[in-house]
Amino acid sequence: MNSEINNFISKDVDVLGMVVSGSLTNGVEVKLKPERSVSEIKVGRYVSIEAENLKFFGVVTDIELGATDQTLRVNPPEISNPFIANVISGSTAYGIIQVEPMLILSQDDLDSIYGPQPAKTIPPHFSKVSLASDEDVETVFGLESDTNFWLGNPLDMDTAKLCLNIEELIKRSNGVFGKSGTGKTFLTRLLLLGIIQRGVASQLVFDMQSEYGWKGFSEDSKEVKGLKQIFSSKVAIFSLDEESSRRRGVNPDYVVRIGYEDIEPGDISVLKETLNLSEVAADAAYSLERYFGPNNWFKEFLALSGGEEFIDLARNLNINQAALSSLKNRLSRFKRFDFIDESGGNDSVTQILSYLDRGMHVILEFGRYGSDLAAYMLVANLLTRRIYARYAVFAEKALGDPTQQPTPLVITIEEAHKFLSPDIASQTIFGTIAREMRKHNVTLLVVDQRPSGIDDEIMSQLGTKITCLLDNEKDLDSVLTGVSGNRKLRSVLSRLESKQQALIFGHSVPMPMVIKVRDYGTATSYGDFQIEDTKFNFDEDNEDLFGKKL
Amino acid sequence: MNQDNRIGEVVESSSLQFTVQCYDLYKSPNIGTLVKCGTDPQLFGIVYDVSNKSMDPARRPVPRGRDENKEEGVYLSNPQLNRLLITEVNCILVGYKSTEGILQSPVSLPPRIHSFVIECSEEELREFSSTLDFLPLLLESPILNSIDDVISSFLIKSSKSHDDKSRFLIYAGKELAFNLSGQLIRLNNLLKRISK
Amino acid sequence: MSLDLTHTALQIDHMSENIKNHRQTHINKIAKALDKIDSFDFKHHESRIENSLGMFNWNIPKISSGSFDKFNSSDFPKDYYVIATDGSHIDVDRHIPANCYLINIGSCILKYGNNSFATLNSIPKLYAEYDDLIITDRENKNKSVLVRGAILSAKRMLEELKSLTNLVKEINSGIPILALMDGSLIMLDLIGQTHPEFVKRELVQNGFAECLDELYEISRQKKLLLASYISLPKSSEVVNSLRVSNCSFSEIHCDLNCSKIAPGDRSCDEVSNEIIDREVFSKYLNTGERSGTFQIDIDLVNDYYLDNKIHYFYLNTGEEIARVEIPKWVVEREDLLRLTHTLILNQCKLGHGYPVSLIEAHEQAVVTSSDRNHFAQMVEAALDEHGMSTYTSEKNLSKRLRWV
Repeated sequence: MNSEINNFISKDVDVLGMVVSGSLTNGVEVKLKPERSVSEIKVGRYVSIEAENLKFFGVVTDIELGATDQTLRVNPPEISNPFIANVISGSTAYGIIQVEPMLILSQDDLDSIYGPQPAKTIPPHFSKVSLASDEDVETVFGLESDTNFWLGNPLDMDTAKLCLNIEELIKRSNGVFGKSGTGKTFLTRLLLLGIIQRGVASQLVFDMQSEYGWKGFSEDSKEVKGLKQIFSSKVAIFSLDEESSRRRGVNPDYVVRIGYEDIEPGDISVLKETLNLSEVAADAAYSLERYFGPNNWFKEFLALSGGEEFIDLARNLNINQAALSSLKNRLSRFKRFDFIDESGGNDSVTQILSYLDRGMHVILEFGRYGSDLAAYMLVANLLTRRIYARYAVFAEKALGDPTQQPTPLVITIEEAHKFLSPDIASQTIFGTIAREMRKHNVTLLVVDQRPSGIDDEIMSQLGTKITCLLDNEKDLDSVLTGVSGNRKLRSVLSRLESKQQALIFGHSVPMPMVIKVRDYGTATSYGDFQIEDTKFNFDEDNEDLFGKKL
Repeated sequence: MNQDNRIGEVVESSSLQFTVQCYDLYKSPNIGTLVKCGTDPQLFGIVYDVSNKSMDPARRPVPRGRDENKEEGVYLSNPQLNRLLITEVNCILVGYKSTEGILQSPVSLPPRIHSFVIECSEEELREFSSTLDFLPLLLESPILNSIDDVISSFLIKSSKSHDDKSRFLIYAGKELAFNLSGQLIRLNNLLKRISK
Repeated sequence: MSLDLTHTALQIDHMSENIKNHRQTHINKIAKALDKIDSFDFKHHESRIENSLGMFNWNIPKISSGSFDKFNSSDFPKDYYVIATDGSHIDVDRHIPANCYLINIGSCILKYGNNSFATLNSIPKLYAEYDDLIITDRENKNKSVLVRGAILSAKRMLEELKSLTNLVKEINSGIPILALMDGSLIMLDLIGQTHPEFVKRELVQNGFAECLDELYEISRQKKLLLASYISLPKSSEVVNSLRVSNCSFSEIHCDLNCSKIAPGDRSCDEVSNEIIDREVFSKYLNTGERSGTFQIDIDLVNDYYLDNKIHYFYLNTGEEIARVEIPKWVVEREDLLRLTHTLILNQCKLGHGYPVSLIEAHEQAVVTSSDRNHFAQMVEAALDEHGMSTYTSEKNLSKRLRWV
């Protein structure tokens, strides 16, 4: 007997409700089935909507309580009677969820080769809405594979793996955001790890807090392994502060030394804000370079004593003497940085490149200088500028001979807003890289807790953004600039849990998705990575032996 | 006379309801009972009103028991009362049996006068109450005020025919809630009744 | 226009004025009649009747020695039947396009005591055959009368008794059965009018009297009581009997003695004029009591009722003085008479003043005016259906449709 009561008794556990209204701009409204409680559904949860021959994939963006009877508010029914409570909830008082249809997963096998398409329509009235299944997630994001890296699980879907196509990811610059303490570092470490594991790019990481290379600490001060410990053969640790490295038990592959001659006026203008330099003072560096010559200006300038000589220089350069003086003062700080060597550097750039060339990943630890923003910025900017210049050359060569294409390079910088703020983004090499996209096979991984400080244009150039909880209005605006469904993502984003949750959206994912970031730091998790590592190495070996797979 | 739970015959009918005169005085089904009548199609009705009265509206019963000790004495001394007084049952039509099974929808033709009216068995009640599509028909019935009592007694009776009694009642409650949106107080009262 | 009641009201006033004036005289007469009853000398009465040689203009019953005794009811049995029939009819109507009449016989069977039950029924019958519509003299086929009016009423009464007889026959039980008819056991409709002799023979002798015979036969096997109940009887036969003893003439010869004297001034009028039996018996009988029996002594009975002499007694039911008529065989058996008295009294009690079985039989039989209209319409419709155009008289039409 196929009757309603039987249908009612054997309820379909995954069905949430049905579409009752909606629009393409505002998403659809879904009335929950009577037996569903609003409290079992969270914002950010994924759902699938079955329309006639289409399947939509969407995300819950809002949850409301509805009542068919407005007197319910003033005259609540006798909920002390459990029967009445049971009946009323879900019927007279019911739940509404707002769903943003994101993608259309075609149910036609022929169409499915094109993969999920952005939803350009909405499901019709009364379409059945269910919780998204693991299969749905796989259809949207792909299965774990040699290009797809398992980054986390969709919210409330512990068995569904959300995989990120690393190859696709590194084609553009990307960003990781989140206020401090929300797991940015863990997330970044995972991404770095994914890139290493999939072997599709080399990486240069400016490891400000020295937490990626050998070991880091979780929020509760537990030690977690760094990348070197997991992929010892693929990761090289460079250090600015050998003493600090050794103290932490790290034996750096290379200790970076920067000579005075390596410093260019552009490096100084990046530090304008950090060093509290005036416009005039920062620009003076260019005049000094012209005056003393490209390699010597820094050394000569710092060597100047005060008095007549200094006044003459100011007069010759036609620069306000006070400005010049303040520049000299500020730059004198650099003398205290041990990694800056008056007598000349050790061509770290070449060293780094040689590692990168071999497909290795370089992590530059700042040691105690990590706490000095000026040092971090100076070094990052200086090294990146040079490396990028070299990549530009490689890339030009490759124009003639495509086989000479250099391995893509991903450069990770922290406190990115310092490099990419609107007033200096046009001057720094990072601004250039971000804007030029992958022109020379170099992209950025920008890590920041204050995305609002980053130039809007740069933000909009970031391919994929992965963001943990943000609560500052400006930061939210900034991250979501130019993203469709902005308003709803915003509500999702501001309600993320402060740990292990992130919203991922942009170029390399078919749709925004909230994930529970994969565990990192437990014995099991390391095991998982290493197993994956061996597995994929084995695949690589296979490829070497039997030629590329089709 | 009363084999197969026959209670009486249709003496008045319309496409909304019908009136049954019971074969025996005071032997009627209760409010909320599911009954069937007629053949091809078989129609289903729910008892919504039971009345005992003089068969002839012009003749009012008068007290007869002044000299009797017991109430039965009145009937023993006046055997004609069993003929002059009748029990009438009014039923609202709620569906019919077609080739596709039971359809809970308004009927297109009323039952014929003198159709036998039979109280439905527990199995029939279970089958009928496995959907409650007729609830709106009842809830919005123009013919009577106390329909809520009828509905609640029907649902309580029906629940006893189902294996999972409380689940049936919750299902029924939700159907009521769905149909009574905007009539919260009425809903509340109805639910209170069927929850007892 | 409806009745002008303002006009009528004045006349009613006047009437009540008259009644008031006569009242005391009336009461005095009743008192005198009672005195006569108290001092009634049966022997004297008998001898005076004998001496009159029939020169007596008053209709009086045969009085027996116990006629003026009073009797109380006895205990009634636990188990018994009461069967009653009553009838009504739709007369032949010239406004109805077909020649026909309808008799509806209602019946009521009440069983008291163990397994008490009731059966109420009515059987209407339409008479439209030629033989139904006339009564023909068996001796001379040329002589016939149409069945309508008083003759139809008599025929109806016959049908009532037939129906009662049939019901009695159906009961196979040794317990008492009271078979009760409404009205008189005398076919009064055939008295006083000049109906041909063959009509009386057909309806009374061959009909009613035969039924009575049949019942008498049954009464020899079952404990059957036959009676008819007359409510508010208007008869003054007993009162008239008192005229005999009050006659101031030595030889009773009304035409000779009193033809010149105006009614009211005759010697016998002192105790009898303008008063009726029940007025006297209402003072004479206490509640529940009946009188002794009187035998009806009229030509119709003597000529056509064969051996079925009819007697009657008066009964104080508590609500009224009723006249109960019974056949000879009931009178002749003391126990049957007493039971008849008892059961009828109880029937009246159950019926709040009127025998309940007769009430129900009447309810079954009654033909209302709307029934009459429906009947006429059905006849018309049936004739139409068979392609016979019907004519309805303009008068009849105007009764059905009231226009301005």
